[in-house]
Amino acid sequence: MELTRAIAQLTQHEASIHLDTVDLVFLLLVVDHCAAIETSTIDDNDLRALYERAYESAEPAGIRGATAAAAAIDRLRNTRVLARMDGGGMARAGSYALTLLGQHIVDFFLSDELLDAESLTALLEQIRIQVVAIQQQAATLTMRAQWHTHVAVPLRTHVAALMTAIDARARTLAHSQETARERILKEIATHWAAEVASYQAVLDEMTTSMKELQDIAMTAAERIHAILGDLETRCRAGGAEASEAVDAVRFAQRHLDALQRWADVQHESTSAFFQLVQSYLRNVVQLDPGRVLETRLREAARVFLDESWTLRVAAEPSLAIIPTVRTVAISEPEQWERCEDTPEEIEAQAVAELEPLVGAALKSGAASVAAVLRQILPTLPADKRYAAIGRVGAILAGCIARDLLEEPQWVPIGDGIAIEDLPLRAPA
Amino acid sequence: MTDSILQNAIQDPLFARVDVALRRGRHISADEDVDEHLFLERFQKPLVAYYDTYDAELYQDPDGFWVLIPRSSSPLRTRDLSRTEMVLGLALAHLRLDPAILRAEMTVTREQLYAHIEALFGGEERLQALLRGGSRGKTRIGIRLREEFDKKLTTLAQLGFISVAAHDRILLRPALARFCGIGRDAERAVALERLVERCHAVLGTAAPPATNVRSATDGTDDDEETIA
Repeated sequence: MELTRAIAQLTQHEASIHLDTVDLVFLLLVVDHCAAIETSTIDDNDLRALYERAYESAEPAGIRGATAAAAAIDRLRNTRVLARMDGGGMARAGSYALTLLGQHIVDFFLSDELLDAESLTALLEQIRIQVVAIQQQAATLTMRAQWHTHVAVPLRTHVAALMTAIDARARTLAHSQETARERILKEIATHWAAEVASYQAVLDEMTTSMKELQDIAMTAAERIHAILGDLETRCRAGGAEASEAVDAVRFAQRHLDALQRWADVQHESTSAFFQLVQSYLRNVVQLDPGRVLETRLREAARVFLDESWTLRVAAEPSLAIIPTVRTVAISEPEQWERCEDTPEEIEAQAVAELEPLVGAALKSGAASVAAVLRQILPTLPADKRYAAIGRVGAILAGCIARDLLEEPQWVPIGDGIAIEDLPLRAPA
Repeated sequence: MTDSILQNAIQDPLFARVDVALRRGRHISADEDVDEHLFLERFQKPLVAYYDTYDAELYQDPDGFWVLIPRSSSPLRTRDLSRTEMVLGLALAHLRLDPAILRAEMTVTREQLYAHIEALFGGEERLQALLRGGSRGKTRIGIRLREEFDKKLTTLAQLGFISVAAHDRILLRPALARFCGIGRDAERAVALERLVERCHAVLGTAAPPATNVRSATDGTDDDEETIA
C-alpha cells in the first residue's frame, strides 16, 4: 500500500493501539491454546475463558465486572488484534483468530532467536552457498527468461529471505542488548560498589559478543561480495537481457552492506556504553564506595548560599602579542615645486603626451582598446597607468568600430586590471 | 635528566596549547582533551616541577583530570568562581552522581538542569528569591536568571567542567568532581578547610546573596567573579 494512502487511512480512522498487560497475556494464551488444539480459530466461550485466565494471572487482586471479557474481546477486535472469522464461509460464525498484527505481537514476545555467532555464521554460509550456485548457473545463461529464473528470482527470494531472518534475529539481539543495559544500570543504582565485578563481567560479555558478530559479518560479507562482484560482471556481459539480474545483484549487495553497517554501529554503540560505564564505575562508584557523596553534596548545596566559599581557578590573561615592528626608512622631505598650471592644462598636457603613443599602437595594428592599452601601459610609470586608461579611452573614442560592436567582453590588460574591450578601426 | 625531559616537553608542539589552557584555568580531562591529557601524563614529572617554580600546583584529581592551582603566593593570577557558577557546578556535579545519567550518556538538557537546581537548592527562602527573576519560563526559574545561567554555562564549558553535546545537551565531564571536594569528608568544615589549605577553594568571596533579587539575577556586583 502506498505510504500516503496508509497514512490517510490511519488518520481517517483515528487508529491507535493500546494494549495492557492483561491483553498481552491473553494474546499469548490464545496462541498457546490454538497450538494445543492444532487450529487457528477459537470460539467465543474458549476466548472468554482465556481472558479470565489472563486477568487472574496479570491482575490477581483486580476486580472485574461480569462483562469484562466480552468488552475486552470487542476492544481487541476494534484494535484489529483479533478478527472474527465469520466472513467468506471460512469458519463458522462466532469463531475468532489473531490477526497478522496480533500474531506479530505474540511473536515478538515469544521470540528467543537471538543473533549470535553461531546463527550468523550459519545464515551467512547459506547465503554464500546460494550465491555460488547462482554464479555457476549464470555462466550458461543467454535468454532474458533464464536470467530472470536463475539469477534475479533466486537472489530476490532466497537471499532476501535469509537476510530477513538475520534482520529479525538482529532486532531481537538489539532488544536484548537494550534490556541488558537497563539491567546493568538498575543494578548499579541498587548495589552500587558491591557488585562491580558482576557489572564488568556482563559488560565484557556484551562487548566480546558484539565484536565477534562484527568480525563474522565483515569476513563473510567480504567473501560474498567477491562472488557477487563476479556475478555482476557476468550479468553485465549478458547485456540488456540480463538487466534485471544486475538489479538483483545490486539488491543483494545493498543488503550485505546494510548488515555490515548494522554490525559496525552495534559494536560501536556497545563499546561506547562499555567505556561510559567503566568510566562511571572508576570515577564515581569506586571513589565513593559508601555512596555518601550524594547526600553530602546535596547538603552542601542546601546550605551553600548561607556559607561563603567558592572554588578557585587559574586566570592568567593571554600574553599580549606584540606585532613585529618594521623599520621604515623615511626620506628627507622633498622640496615640492609650486605648480602654476590649472587642472585643465595639466589634463590637456597628459592627453597630448599619450596621443603619439596611441597613434603608434594603431599603426602597429592594434585592433581593440585592450590591444592599444597593452602596448602603451608598460611604457608608462606604474603610478600613471590607471589614469592613462581613461585618457586613452577618450582618445580612441572616435575610432570605435560601431559596426563591429558585439557583446563587450571583459579582458585583462595587465596590473590586475580588466576592461570591457571594444573593437577599433584604424583612422583614415 | 629532568631538565632535558622538560626541554622536550616545552619543545613539544602541544606545550603552548596546554600551558595556555592551564593558565586560563581549564581542567584537562581524557574524555575530550585526549591529546592534551596524554601530553600531561607523559611529561607529568617535569611539568609539575616547572609549575612549582610559579608556586602553582599541577594537580591530577583521582577522577583523572588535570588542573593548575596557583598557591596564594603565586605570581599567576586566579579567579574565584561566581555564586551562579557555583550553583550550576554543584547541581551538575550532583546530577553526575546519579547512575540514571548513564542512560543519557552523561548528558542533561538545560530544562533538567534548571529543574534540578530548583529541587536541590529549593526550600531556602532566599534562594527562591534568587531563582525567581523576571518572567517565568517552563520552570519556576525566571527567564533573566536562565539567561544568566546560560552565560555561565559557557564559562563552565571553557573551564572544562562541561561541554555542549548534540541537541544542545550538556555533557557532564569528569572535572565536575572538583565541586564534590566539599563532600570528601563527613565533616563539611573539615573538607572545606582541606580545600582552602591547598588553595583549591577560598572562603569569603562567594558571598551569600543579598536580598536584592536584581543584583543576583543580573549578575551584577554580587555575582562578579573575584580576580586575585
